[in-house]
Amino acid sequence: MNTAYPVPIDVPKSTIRNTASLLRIVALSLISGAAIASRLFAVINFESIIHEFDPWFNYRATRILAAKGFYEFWNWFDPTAWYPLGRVVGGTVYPGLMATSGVIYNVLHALNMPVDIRNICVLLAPGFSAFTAWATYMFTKEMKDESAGLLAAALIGIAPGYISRSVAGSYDNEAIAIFLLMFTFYCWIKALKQGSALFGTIAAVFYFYMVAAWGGYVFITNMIPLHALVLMLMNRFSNRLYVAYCSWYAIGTLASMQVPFVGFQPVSTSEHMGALGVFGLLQIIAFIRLVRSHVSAKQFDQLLSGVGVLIGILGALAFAFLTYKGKIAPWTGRFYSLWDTAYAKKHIPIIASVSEHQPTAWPSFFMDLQFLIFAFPAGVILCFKELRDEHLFVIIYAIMASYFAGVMVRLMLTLTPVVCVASAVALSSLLDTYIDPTEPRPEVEDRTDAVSEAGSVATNGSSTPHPNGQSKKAKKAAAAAPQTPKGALGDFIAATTPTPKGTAPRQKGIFGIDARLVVIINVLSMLFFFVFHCTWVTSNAYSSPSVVLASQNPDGSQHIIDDFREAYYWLRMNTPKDAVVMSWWDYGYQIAGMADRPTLVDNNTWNNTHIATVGRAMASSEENAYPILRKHDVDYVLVIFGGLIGYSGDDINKFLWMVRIAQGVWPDEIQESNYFTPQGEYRIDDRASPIMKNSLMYKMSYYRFNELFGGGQGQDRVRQQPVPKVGPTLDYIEEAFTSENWIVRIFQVKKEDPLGRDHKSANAFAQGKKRKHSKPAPRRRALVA
Amino acid sequence: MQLYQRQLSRVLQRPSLSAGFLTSSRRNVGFLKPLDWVKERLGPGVKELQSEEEIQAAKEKAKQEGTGGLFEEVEIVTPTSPKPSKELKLFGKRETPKTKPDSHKYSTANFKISHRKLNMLGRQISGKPIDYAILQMQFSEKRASKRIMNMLATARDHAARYKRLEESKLVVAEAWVTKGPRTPTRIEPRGRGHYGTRTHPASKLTVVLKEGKTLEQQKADARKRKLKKIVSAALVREDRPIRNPSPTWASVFAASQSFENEAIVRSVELGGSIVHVTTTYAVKALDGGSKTYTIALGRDEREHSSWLEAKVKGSITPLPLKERSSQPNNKYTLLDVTLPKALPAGQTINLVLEAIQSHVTHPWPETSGQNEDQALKYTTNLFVLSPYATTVQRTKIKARNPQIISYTTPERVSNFVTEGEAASKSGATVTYGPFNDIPPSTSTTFLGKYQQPVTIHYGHDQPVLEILSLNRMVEISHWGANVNTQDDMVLHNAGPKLKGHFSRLEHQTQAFYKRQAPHVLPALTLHLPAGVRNTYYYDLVGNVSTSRLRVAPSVPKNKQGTSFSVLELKPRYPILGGWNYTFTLGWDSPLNDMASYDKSTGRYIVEVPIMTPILGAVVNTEELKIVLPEGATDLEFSTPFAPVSTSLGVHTTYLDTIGRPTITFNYKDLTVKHADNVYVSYKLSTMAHLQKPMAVATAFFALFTLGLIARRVDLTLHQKPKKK
Repeated sequence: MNTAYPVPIDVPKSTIRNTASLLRIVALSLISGAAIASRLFAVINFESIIHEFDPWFNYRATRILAAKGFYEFWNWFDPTAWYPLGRVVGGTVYPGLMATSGVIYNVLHALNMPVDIRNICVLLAPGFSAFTAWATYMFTKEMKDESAGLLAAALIGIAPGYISRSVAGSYDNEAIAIFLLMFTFYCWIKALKQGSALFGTIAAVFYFYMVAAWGGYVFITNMIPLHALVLMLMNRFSNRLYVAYCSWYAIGTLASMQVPFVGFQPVSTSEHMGALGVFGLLQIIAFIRLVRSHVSAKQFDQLLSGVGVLIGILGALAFAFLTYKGKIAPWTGRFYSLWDTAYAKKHIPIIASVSEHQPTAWPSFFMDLQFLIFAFPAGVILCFKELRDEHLFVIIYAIMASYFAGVMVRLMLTLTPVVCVASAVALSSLLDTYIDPTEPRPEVEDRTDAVSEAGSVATNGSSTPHPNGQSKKAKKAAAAAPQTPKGALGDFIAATTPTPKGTAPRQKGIFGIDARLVVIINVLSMLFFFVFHCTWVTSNAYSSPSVVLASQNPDGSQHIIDDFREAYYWLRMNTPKDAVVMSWWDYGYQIAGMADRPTLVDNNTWNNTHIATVGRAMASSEENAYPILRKHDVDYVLVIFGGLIGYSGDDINKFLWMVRIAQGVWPDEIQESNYFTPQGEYRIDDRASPIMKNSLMYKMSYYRFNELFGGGQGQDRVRQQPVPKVGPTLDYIEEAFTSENWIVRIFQVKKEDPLGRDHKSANAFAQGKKRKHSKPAPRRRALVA
Repeated sequence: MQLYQRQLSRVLQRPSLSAGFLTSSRRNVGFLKPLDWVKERLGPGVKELQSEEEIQAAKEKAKQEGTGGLFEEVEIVTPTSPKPSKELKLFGKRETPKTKPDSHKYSTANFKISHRKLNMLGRQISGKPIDYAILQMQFSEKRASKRIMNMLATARDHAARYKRLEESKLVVAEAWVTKGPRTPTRIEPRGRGHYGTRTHPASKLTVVLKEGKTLEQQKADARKRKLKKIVSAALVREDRPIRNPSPTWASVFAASQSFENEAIVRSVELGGSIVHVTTTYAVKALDGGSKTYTIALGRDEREHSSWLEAKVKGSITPLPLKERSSQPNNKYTLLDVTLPKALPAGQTINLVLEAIQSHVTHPWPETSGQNEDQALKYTTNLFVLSPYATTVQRTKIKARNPQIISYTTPERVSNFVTEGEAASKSGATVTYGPFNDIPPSTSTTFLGKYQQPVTIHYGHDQPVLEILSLNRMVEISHWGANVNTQDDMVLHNAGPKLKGHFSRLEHQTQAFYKRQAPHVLPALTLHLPAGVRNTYYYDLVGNVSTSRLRVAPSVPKNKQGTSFSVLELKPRYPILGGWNYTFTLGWDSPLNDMASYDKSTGRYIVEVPIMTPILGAVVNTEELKIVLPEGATDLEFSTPFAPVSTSLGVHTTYLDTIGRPTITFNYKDLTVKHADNVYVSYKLSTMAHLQKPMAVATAFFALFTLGLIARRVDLTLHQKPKKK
């Protein structure tokens, strides 16, 4: 037979199978290695450190878990957070992440490997990314074949969209959640394909793990029912679906209710109602099918119109009634913000103030996914071509995830796996077609039908467009058709070991090696560029711990700006253990983790009023803020100020959010418009509004800042504005510590004056200023009638 | 006339008395002083007549010759009976020598006060020493007190001036109040038509001042009385000599006689947290044969001296020092120095005692602002104690820079100071002494009377560093040919606490103008061993990115070369007075540099440094844990100085099966002088070397076996028929 390039003929079948299996294992381990290695930029460039904000809490909780055991962790009440309210940590966290690290820690220590808990936490995300690659491989294998699976694994291993949340040190729930998400989906597909209660149960177990690990489990809770619903609507109900869904839903829901933070939500909140509804619908359909098998068609129609409609109406009514009575909680605000991107800004400024809750800018799609973003639709279309049950899942997943990714930057994470899967399917099909060495035989015209019959899947043949066979697309499809069940290797086997069935030569296809090479080289170079792009994005954009900043020395060497840790460590070492620190909530977890001091608010933003109180204290003048500070036992106030070295993520830039959040609770005291100039500009220089200049935040940020310039004109490098010549003065608080680059400034709140004066007059007295004698108070006189 | 005759007769009586005296006096020569007897017998010159007869004869002769004395010529009338003393008394007033008055009586004038009110003051001052009484009056709130005070002062002056009474001994022996003249009473109108009488009493206070016991004497008497009451043997009786002393005491007395100190020179170099004291004893042996010289140290001094070393001056080998057990309430401890050889009588030797004291300085003022200076106070005892007599003694106290704010001038030392001042300052040095002829100073009387603390208040331009705790773990690995050392330190700035708050602006200004405040510690320089690798420096929140390391290449054993790498260690924040900082510092060094193998005994010997010296810092407590390779046996170790405690244990880490033996030493108050090595030696068999790879191999083998089995087990309950 004709081949485009020489292929060894007499290789035994078993050798090929074994070699392929070995190659797969080697490829998967290399992919795992690459996935882990590409996430280590942060460790190499900086150090083994926990990144950002939330991970610091997870790390702190894990340390408690490792040191005191699970039981203590479960009952942990943290009195230092949300001072003076405290926080029941055991009941308000998703413990999956900490439990995973705790198990790894204990196993390693049992094996006499005293690995530091911090290193386990830092390296957990890269480790799990290897598992994610494997889970994606398994999932894609179900969609197409092993080679597509390997490609998908490689893509997810290095895709920046996923790396952004799983670099070493990014010890967050998402680190393990994506693996769990993919593996649950894989088990679901497997259960659906085989009608296996075992895989349904495994899916439920992993679903439970997911529930314990990440709030995003709701995505699974709605994806699987949606898939089931679509299948039912497409009249694809089968016993397989029934078995898979029921075993998943029953076990998964019961298991998920064991997580304290979730509790009874699966049966009482709107987000979970879809799954319950689909479960009920499945029962109805199954019942109907059972009835239909026992009664005649005419009776059945009557029964269906009567009972089916009745049950449906009753169910809907019951749902509406329960919602109305409040038994089922309505949609939460976060959920609304998924549908209306402006909702949060209007109603929940806290959610809107988080940068990762903003709608995604379209360049970031390209940044995170590069060429996958246009390979992705091709893959989805390929899924339409076959449209088996599992392909339907990918299609639904793709649509949903694309929408969510467009709404919130953060949800780019859930989009990335399906993009990788779909792109892998598309690329793999392309490569399969062009690597296939079989040469078509154009002279044989009447073989077309034989080819279509040779396709093992019945649906495929029918969907192949015969008349437009000359177009490239059709050629590709035609070439792909016979390989689908076994993939390229199967075809290779078929080619090398001629059997009467598989040798049917084609009349359409690619001729010669050069035509093949053009496409193959193009695809390969795209893949190469993707690798370069991923490496570049990872090393430049996603590997900064944000606790440690870096700049360059004049000689080009790296200069570490370590102000955060400097100040936090100073707090830890040189203040009383119970000193309460007030700061904006962004820094709450870091202060708790690094400085080990009680904080007023932290990143677990459960109490809007408390946060607004802090915002109000920051936004009001010293006299007004002082009673608030004293009432909350605040000893130190911490602000972030980037004006000296141009660190733009500082508190003055976040200040308007503080004002807005405070205004939401105290609209009479705080108004956003007061903090702008009359021209509506947000300024910090001489033209700033007096309320702005008198606010505690402004005063703390610029206290003695202009003195640093030795009489010259001080310049704020973030706002690019000159600072006023006369700096603010402080009466009620005093500077306690300022870090090396002035990024962190800590002020101590004075205790009440021992002589009962207010601090302003006490300070004036200490500076020798004469008190202005106002008119003496009028003498009390008896009223004469 | 009669009277005159009588008087004359009395005058005439006198010669008889004188003659009688003359006769009774006999020179008793010859018996005891033979030389005088010989001189008298043989020598030329007038011979004194001796016996009664000779004198009588001589007198007779002179009478005849008319050469007798005036008294001989007068007739001696011997009165028959002496006149009664009554007459004598009559004229005796003039005759008797004037006796010194022993009291002075003085009083106020009558003034308008009630006698009852005045009497209270009288009772208050009676029996008191005069100055004390005046003091009482000075602060009394009674109206009359000021007047009484003035009267007392006048009385005191008069007593001293007119009666020549010793002013310091005066006491108010008696004090009484007498009513003054009655003044006419007045009518005091009362309510309801009644009336009363108003008296206007006057009275005065009289005191009698006498020489009596001063307050100190009274106290001493009281103490004596109290001491007399003590009969228990538990307390040392200071009022009676010690009989039958115990051997300890006996040796003190014995030793007291064998040496004397010709000179003692103590020089104190003041530092921040450590003070270096060098005492040189010029010792002279009084009788030969004694090899043990005893040094006395004050109790505080002993407690704060974390390092003591005695040497013969000029030699480098330290002499053995042995501390005697002493009573807990003793004010000093005794140390026995064994001299290299017994000193013959009259020979001298110079001994040098070097001591490093820690925790002896404290900042004063206790708080200091960010821009202010730092000053410390150091207190020591004036005299160097010694159980031997000392001819001359001097103490020199040197500060780092000539900024001595104040120093104590000693009191009650006039006995020992012959010329010049007892204390003098020149530049950065304060000198106490020279003090001459000091008796053995370990006696209670000397300690009580002369020993006294002296305090130097001086400026110090370096931060005062204390390492509150240091945990060093040294892990020896033969497989890696590596020794890992890890120090966990708690650093504390023990200088004056920061007054107010830390201002970064001021700190940066200081750094810019290079005028760093002396109590701020911006960075530390440490000397690590040469050839270190993988140095790490982190604290509780991660790596500290500000350190810099210059590694010197490893130097083979017994070769010359740069022996240390320099680590410039910058804490996260500058450490101001009273601030703390904890960190962990670790490094790997080649095993070859620290260990050697002795083929003959089959032992490995490893030298482990106790600490990395930090100049001027004191390590309050250290735990040194040495982890030996797994399977090491026959542990032996030797320490340069005794640890507080030692313990053995097991440490389990990577790839261990039975754990590694560890030795833990605990130390206290370490200084630069203590930066020495501990030597550990152990045996390690070949089997022990192979233990690790074998354990790993076994584990993998078991894993693969399990995998093999698991792949072949089929747990399916019901085999699906294969579709054809």
